[in-house]
Amino acid sequence: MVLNRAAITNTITEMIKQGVIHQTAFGEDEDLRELGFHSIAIITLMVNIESRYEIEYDDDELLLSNFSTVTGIVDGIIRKLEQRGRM
Amino acid sequence: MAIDRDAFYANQHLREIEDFRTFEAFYEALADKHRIYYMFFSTGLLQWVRKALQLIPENVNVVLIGAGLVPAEKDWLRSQSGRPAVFLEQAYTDHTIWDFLFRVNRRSFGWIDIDSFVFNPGILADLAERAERSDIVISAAWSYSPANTIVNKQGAELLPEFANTFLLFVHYEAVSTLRSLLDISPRPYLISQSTEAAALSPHRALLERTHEELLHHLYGPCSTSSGSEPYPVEAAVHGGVEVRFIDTLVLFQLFAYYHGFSIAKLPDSRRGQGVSAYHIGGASYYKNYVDAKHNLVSEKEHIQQRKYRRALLMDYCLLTQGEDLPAPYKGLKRVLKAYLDQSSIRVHHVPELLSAMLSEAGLDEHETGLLLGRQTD
Repeated sequence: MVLNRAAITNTITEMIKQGVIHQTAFGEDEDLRELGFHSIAIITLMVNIESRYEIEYDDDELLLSNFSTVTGIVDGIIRKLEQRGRM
Repeated sequence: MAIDRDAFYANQHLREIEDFRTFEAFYEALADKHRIYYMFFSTGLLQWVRKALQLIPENVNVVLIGAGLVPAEKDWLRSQSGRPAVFLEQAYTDHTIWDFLFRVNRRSFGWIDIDSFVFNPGILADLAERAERSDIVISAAWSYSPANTIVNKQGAELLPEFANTFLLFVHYEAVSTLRSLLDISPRPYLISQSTEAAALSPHRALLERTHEELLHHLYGPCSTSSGSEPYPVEAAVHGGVEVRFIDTLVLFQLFAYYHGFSIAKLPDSRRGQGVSAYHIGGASYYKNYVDAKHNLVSEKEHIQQRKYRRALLMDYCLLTQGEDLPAPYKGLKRVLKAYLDQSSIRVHHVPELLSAMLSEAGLDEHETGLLLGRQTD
């Protein structure tokens, strides 16, 4: 698996599209909640991210507002990967 | 690349039409349309639905409306709820659902919020009966009175009382009569005139000249001056932009008052000790209170803090009552724990804190036990 910002961003964007947002394109800083990405869909994404990148979010990282943009989500993943010396 | 908002909302509109047709077909196929109480919810709220349904006897005609649910939630409702349910594909707020209900129902119907807990189910029949009177448009468990009087069509001055939408019953004949006089929606009406506000509030109706004339008749010439409106106006932040609006069903009720209708209230929600029904409030949106980009700014901060804490405690408490909810709800438990941590609340203190709050609100020991999932006599 390629681990750089561009690759992670593409992966996360695809995961979100497979969720509930039926959009071909949306900005990395777009508020996903405005586009219909809510609650259980966000939680499903969190679980999928943990599984795919073999990371575990700490409790204080799980506020839904931390998952409101692609940029925010990707920043969080990169931070976790860097902590584990994988990036 | 930023989203093309025009295309997005156009697509949403098309999908809303599809969902409306789904709801229309569902309603037509309902075997029992007598005194329906609709319960509406979006994703992540099954713990509230489960508790609200536990308190309502099976002989009350509850119909569930889910919007934007994931497949596991739909499966759970099909197998566990024991109630007719329709699933709309988009994640709507109640604004859109109210509009659907007004357009589709052909008989009087009720509405019960998922965070309205009914301890005395007799009030559900009571509300339905009170809404049958020819001069009543809505009967409500809770209502509020703003400070300003209105003048109705006959020139009489009166102080209107507005039904809260938490638990109420709608008189179909009255609604039908009123809607034949003016195209008026139960949806909130947007007051902010900016294009940005309108774009961020696609589910709100826009005030038209006829609505402004109605407000002018009711309140006099200053009725539409921005910032000094005599009618109830809410303000919220959506996506960082403040929007001002007349809340759900308020303009409709003003129109009803203008034409001589009024609302009926339950005589007293208390019966001896305890309450007949209790509304927590904010189940679907309380997390917005700690999010600067999405907030209801017309509520005072201390009220928001109290509502936030109460809804968060209740949410966690309901979520942890049983393991039957769909698998993603295990993740939701982790998320709620994060919100509790942020408020410096330890999970093992939740029952005690919630119990004290409910007791302060007038619930007796039995009612508190029901909400906390304790065995009571």
